Amino acid sequence: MAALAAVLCACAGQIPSPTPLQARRATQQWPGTTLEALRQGRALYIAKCSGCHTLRLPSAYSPERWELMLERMQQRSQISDAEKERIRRYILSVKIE
Amino acid sequence: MILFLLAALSLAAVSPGAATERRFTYTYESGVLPAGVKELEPWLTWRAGRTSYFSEFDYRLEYEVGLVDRLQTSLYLNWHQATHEDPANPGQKVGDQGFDGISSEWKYKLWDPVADALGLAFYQEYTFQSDEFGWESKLILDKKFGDNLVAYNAVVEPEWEFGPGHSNISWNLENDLGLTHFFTPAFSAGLEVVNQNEKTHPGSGFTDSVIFAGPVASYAHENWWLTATLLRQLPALQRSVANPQDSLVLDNHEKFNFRIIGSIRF
Repeated sequence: MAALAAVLCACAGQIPSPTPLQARRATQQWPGTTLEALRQGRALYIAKCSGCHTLRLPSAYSPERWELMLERMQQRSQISDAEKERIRRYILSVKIE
Repeated sequence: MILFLLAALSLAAVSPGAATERRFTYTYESGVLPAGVKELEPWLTWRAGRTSYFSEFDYRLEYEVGLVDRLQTSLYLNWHQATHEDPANPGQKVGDQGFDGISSEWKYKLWDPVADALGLAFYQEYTFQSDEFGWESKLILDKKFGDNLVAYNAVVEPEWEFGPGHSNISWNLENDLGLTHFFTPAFSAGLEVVNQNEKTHPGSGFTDSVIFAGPVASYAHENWWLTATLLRQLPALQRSVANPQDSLVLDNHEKFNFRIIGSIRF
């Protein structure tokens, strides 16, 4: 049973969905940011970034490293400024737990 | 071959961007290019070691475009350069080279190997030559577990050959498996296993069933990537009808396959 649970956990999606609590924190940091906007940021992150490499978990890097990487990757993936900002808010929101 | 590799590497080195990383060369992963992104991938496959002398270089140049975020298409130019024993003069080598037509690839991604429980994509490739037509379908599954990536492809490929007053169809069923470990986000190394099953007559069994295995290594920089695999044929699952005493099938397949793929984005 434990082995089955381990396999199921390992197979589950690893890119976290934003929670209402994270959305409330995001609103304090970036007024007007909604849970739906964070969900869109997650969808954009998956769609735009997985085309070039396997996705990195939001917890994999520090916020400073993510800021640098998003700058560098924007041109590479042809991401607009608005899309980059959505991805940035999603990643920084879900990594603070 | 050396010129082709040098050209590919030098182009990659000056490339301003990067592209869809491939961590295997025989096994496909589910990733597709983001919409609007384009890349050029030079391929080189060397196949050698048959019952009589055989050495062939297969070249492919792939131009890949992301159409929408889940769908990409590619156009390939294919050609080869071979040296083999002359059947009419045993012991003598003859060479041949030529253009092997164009291929059109379509790949649709449904699920992601990290974001979803399992990565899943469907793949179609059509190859057109003056006297041949190939239709390859793949089911692509992959999954990333921590720093390890596993990918599996089930492949079905009917191929039609046309001659004056006749046509033949052969079937190739293939299983490809790749396992690799990311030692760093840029460098991965692992193993690829390829099983090829060929059927030349409808209603009959497979002519043979061969299995290849060997190491794969991949390095991806922000501006380029390069992946190479060396496969050796292992004792066949089903031996050749023509040479049942041999554990390797060397009348129709080779002892060694080596493939290297690079990427250039523009």
